[in-house]
Amino acid sequence: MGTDPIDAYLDDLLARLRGAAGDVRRTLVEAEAHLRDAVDEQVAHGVDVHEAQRLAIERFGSAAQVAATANRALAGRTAGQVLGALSWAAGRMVAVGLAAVGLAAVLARVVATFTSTAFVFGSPAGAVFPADRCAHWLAVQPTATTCAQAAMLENSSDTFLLYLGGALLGLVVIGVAFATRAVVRRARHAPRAGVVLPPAVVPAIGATVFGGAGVALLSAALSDLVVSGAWGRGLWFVDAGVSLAVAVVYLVRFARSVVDLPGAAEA
Amino acid sequence: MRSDPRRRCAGAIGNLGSLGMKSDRMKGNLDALLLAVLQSGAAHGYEVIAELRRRSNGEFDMPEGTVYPSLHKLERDGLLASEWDVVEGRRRRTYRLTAPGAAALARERAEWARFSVGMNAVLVGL
Repeated sequence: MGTDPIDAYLDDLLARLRGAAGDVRRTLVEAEAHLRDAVDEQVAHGVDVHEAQRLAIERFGSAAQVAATANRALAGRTAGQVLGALSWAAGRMVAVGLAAVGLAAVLARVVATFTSTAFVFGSPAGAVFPADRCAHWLAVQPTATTCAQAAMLENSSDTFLLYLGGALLGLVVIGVAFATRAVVRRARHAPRAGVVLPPAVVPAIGATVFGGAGVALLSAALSDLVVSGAWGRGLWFVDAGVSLAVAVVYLVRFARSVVDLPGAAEA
Repeated sequence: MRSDPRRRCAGAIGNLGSLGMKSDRMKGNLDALLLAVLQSGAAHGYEVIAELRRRSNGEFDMPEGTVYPSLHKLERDGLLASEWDVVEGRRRRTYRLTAPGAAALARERAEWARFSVGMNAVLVGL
């Protein structure tokens, strides 16, 4: 099946254009109308249609040349849009991170019931605590019979509250910021954010950040270098698991965005 | 639309002897040329470019696709306005001159008139 040279040219141009989706779409629509008008005019003058298509494309300029001119013209505006889109994406990623922290708090409790509270929240082996702290922990954890047990229960309680409370508070703050932004954008009839960044960018960053964090947490959990002096090896495993799971989600989104790239289906 | 014709000419003179001189001059004045063409009435991109070529007897001939970014920039600057139309079954963006665009064109014309008098005096001795 032969490809229409003008369609092929427009595909090439689309792959080279940078900027907001609306700008790119407008450039493509105008380019197609122009090229087809030029072909019609040549054909009306008796030129063979294939030759007319070649001439129309030649006169229009190479896709690289046209895209470079269009991208240069939009560069100033695009820089601001890219910055805005990156800030928006960073905010969303922080929100995902906070949600992951909240999820880890709940999961840690679940894991503790299936393993042991000591594995997930226990104090470092051989740790000796000051008497006043032991007294405090035993007072606030009346079910504990030893200082180590009270410390473990207090750590479990504090971790749950700090993880979940911090995550919820952060999500509320980000939610308010996003809602305010959406209201302002709607009032200004501004285009949606995120239209500037190529679709693979945010998933790639997300997979790298969460994947890196997950590997680091897992390495720490498996190694005595870090965990030996820290509280609850199991908590490190839970944090690593949640981080890696989020990384996998970003990785899947990245793979999908790459596969969906223009022209990939025909490759 | 605040380009100085003297600066444009200085740039062009700096390129004297190079094959790109005509193209550079054309690019430097493209905004004014587009406004001038659209002063005759609203038109879509293909018509604007064809008219530009016709009025200049083919002298102003550049890759046609590179004209559209200039049209878009003029619109962002408020000197042109545009809207989608369907003409002969094909969707097109039709451009028209705005009041600020007409004022900018008048300024460009006045500057060009002064500049061309000076150029003629030096180059041709008129």
